[in-house]
Amino acid sequence: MNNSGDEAQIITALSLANSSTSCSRFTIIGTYAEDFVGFLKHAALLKNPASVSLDDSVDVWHTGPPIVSGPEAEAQFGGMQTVAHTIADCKLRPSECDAIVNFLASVDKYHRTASVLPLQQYVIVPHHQWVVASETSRRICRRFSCAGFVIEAFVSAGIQLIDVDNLPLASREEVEFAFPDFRRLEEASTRIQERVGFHGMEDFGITGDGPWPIALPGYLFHACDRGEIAGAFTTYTVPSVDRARFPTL
Amino acid sequence: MIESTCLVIQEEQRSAIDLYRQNSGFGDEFRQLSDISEQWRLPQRFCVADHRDFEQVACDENANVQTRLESLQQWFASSPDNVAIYVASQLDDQDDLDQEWLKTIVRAADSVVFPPDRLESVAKSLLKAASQFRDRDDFGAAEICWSAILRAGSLLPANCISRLLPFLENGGEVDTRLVALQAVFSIVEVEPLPDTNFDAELYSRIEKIGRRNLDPDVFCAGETSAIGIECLMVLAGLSNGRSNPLCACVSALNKTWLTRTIAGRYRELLASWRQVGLDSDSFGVLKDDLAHLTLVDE
Repeated sequence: MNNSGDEAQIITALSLANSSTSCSRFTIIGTYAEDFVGFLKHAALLKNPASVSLDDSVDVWHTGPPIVSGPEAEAQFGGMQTVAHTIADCKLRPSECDAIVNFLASVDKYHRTASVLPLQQYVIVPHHQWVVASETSRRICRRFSCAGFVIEAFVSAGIQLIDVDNLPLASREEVEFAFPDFRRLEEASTRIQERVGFHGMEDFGITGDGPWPIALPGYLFHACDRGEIAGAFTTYTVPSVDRARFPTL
Repeated sequence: MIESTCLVIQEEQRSAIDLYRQNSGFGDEFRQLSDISEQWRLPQRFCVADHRDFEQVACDENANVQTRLESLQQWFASSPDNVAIYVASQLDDQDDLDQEWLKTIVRAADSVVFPPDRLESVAKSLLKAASQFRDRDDFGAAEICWSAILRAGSLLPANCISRLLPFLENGGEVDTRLVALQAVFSIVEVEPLPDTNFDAELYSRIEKIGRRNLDPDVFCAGETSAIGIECLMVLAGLSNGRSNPLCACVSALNKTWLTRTIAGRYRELLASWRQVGLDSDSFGVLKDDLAHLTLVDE
């Protein structure tokens, strides 16, 4: 029992099985990379409470890209779904849900379809960033990685899931596991790259030969797999890059 | 040469190498990119066209919008400065543009860097486009309207901030209030306005919207809360020595998450103003507001 007399809610994270698991609103949904056992390549926020089983396609708010965080982006791009392989349920209080709802509404208005440089909604290092007008240094809109979007949503609710200032360094191999489409973009013809505004991984903060401090999706699930009590969450310091897999092998 | 450029584009279309679609973006987790990954390994069968050809196709009013956009992207890759001037001139001449092309040009304004002598005219043109799309009820009009307002806010000279005032009214088909507030805040966040630029009408309008959205009978999480928070932050940015009248509304709501969010935004604003070398006299009132909010939070 906690101080308020209610039963203590334990924050849980698990790799899904075929039997359904009841998930509350804004449960973090994880999707495994196809070819790398246990390595998570995507994280998103469950849109509504649902019973979720392995391989279910569930409605989410996320950064795909594009960023889909509310009705405006949804109207433009359609409802977004992601395949559920893992979940992390933080048992959020109503006030924490309200804060995330406010975050989503704020970000939603920054949404836009970028014609000339479609990839400008995305960033890998750091996990989120303001796009600033070159002419005046004023903020125009935000960019996120998929994990960064989830991290910042929880920050708005006063929950710092992972210590983003002390991330383990990820090698190029791990970057390729987590962002397979960017590897393919690197291999694409110049014409293709120019058309999507891909000027190299530097645009996403991946400069030099690495390694890089990247907030990988798997870390979020380890953060929620420590038996922490809802309402008393402590920030998780990721000990090593092997936490990109969940559960760790 | 134009013909050869078109051939290249047509071949790409036949190969479904259309990475980005206006209505679907990249889709879930770059699905489209993954689906066509094999095609990227196709050898280049066509010579690369000269950027002058892309310029001609992009500027060709008789070409279809998709073809023009693809050429604009290619032209941008080789001559971003020229594309910026072209986008600025297209915005100036927007009355004569095909509406779909105008949407493309408004979106393109997000990606180009305009020369210093064009900032004010581009901002005004973008607001003119925003006014037009605000009254439309067709698919995609809202997104274009908001993009135009936010980009205009990033370019507008601080002494023209009042030009955003009409977008704080909830008129037309598209609700522009939150976006207009975000645009105003983007201006005052970088540095406070000089006293000479203080606009009592703008201040009063924002205070009025803020009071309504932070009213306990109206307040709820979502766009209403986002508007209320943005109003409060804009008044902080426009403070000019005034204590923020909306802080009392926040205290009355007594919501921990709201107070914490606003306190965080205040700290960011203070940090931004310190970065431009402002002395503490310039933001003493903000510190008082913050102390009050923090006290409530505790």
